[in-house]
Amino acid sequence: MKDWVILHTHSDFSKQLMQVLGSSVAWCQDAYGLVNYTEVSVSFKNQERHQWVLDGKIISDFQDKIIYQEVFYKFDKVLGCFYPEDHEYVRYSWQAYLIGLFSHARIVINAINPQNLSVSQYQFPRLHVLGYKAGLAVPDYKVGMLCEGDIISDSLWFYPFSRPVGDGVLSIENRPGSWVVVRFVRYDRGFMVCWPDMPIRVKNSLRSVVSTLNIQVGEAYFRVRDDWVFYGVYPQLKTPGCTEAQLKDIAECIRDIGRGGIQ
Amino acid sequence: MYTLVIGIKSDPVLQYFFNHQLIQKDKRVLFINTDRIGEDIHINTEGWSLPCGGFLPHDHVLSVYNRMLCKPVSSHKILPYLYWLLDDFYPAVINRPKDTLTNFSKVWQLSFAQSLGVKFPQTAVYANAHLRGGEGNCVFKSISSIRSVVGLVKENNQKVVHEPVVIQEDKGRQNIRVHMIGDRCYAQRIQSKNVDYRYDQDDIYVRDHLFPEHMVRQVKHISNQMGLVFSGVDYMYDNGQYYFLEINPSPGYVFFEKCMKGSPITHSLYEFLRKT
Repeated sequence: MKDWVILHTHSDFSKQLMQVLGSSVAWCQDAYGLVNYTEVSVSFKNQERHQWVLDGKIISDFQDKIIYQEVFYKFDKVLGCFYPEDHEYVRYSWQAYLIGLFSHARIVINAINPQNLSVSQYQFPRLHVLGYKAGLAVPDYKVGMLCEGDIISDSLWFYPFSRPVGDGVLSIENRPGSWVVVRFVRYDRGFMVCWPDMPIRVKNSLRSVVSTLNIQVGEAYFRVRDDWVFYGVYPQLKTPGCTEAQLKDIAECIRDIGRGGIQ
Repeated sequence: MYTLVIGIKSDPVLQYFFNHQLIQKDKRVLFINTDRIGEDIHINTEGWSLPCGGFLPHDHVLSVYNRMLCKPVSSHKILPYLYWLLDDFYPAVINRPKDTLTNFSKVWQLSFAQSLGVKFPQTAVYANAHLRGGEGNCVFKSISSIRSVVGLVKENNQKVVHEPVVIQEDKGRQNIRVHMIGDRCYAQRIQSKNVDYRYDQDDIYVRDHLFPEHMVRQVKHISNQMGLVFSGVDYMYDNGQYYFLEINPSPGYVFFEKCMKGSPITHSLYEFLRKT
């Protein structure tokens, strides 16, 4: 059954996913083609209906489709045909349209809706509270006060492998141990697959965090020695170094989500 | 316990709000000018350092009136932390940033309204498309919350749309604006010859409107479902029917309140903020 729509940015992972999904991909589109060439129409007569037309191809049954997308925050790169002063407006227009489409589709992997667009969504203070409530060990932190010996971040969206380029804004306790990046695919509230695998207690707590965030795929950051100390989650596969075999495993798990649905 | 009012000094809604005697008398209502954050206003994990030299711990904040509508002049790196405090930490906020994003997408709002059984004008969205002529008696509007332009399709020479645009059946000129604050509801009818009454300087007529009880329930229901304590909901009134247009989570209510007796919206806002 052709039930997948892939909106991609030519990433390694999207290529792997398309390969794994094979003939079940109904529509595959990059951000440039969507913004510049795809004829879009939406009607609310009796019921909501979205239709896309491109090169004589038509897709309209989005209510039955599963969408994997990585274009939402990448529109800036494909607006060359518009006046620069219009870029923000055009980007917002496409994002506003996609939010409507996502609420209509059967499943969206890492769905974006108005509430989870908030700038607080993946901020360290929020993830810290979610991790703590889920029973994970978490480091202390300060915002707007820097402490000696801490990890200093110039952004409230902490990423362990970026180096601060400006003034620090976030100071996080530097727990002993080494960094472990855990990629995950969450099927539902009760089942999640991780690479590498981790202690069941930590895995259950992480699953609880990503369930609250309502994401299916992404990566989490831990400092590991005696305990697994939680430093955050990102809703994409951001850190380089994922092997082709791992990407294939992740793509196969995402394919399975499409078969089973998200609970 | 204190109430913070957060926004910029030039916001006419805040100027009006602070000019009200209720607010002027109450020294527990403090203005946080977001353009001054990082200059003479500082924020950290513990609380606020204020220009007067005082320090306000976060757990002394009872409530917040959030008017952060646009990017501040100096977008200090710490400003996003304020969004977290408003979204998750402070006990009562009008309105939380995550809930104000419900008007980011008009197509999402309509889809949501449809799921609640709310009636709205026939609506379509087009992108990269030629308008085929059947849209003559329609208005066009921006699909997102920026560039809030509304016009008649037949008066616009451009017959091709590139970015997604909302095209909606024109339901006349009887606009109904409903402000909902907590459980209180204030409805007004606005008559204007202009398709977008906000830009009608001369020929605009505003009066209180007796809004039926079932419609009051509808507004409450939509606002509650979107997590909004304070909202401005727009309807069109045509042939005895109300047609939902949109819900504004940061209503600029000043123009409307000036057409009312007294200042009931400001009173309700104040009551909510202080007695929450």
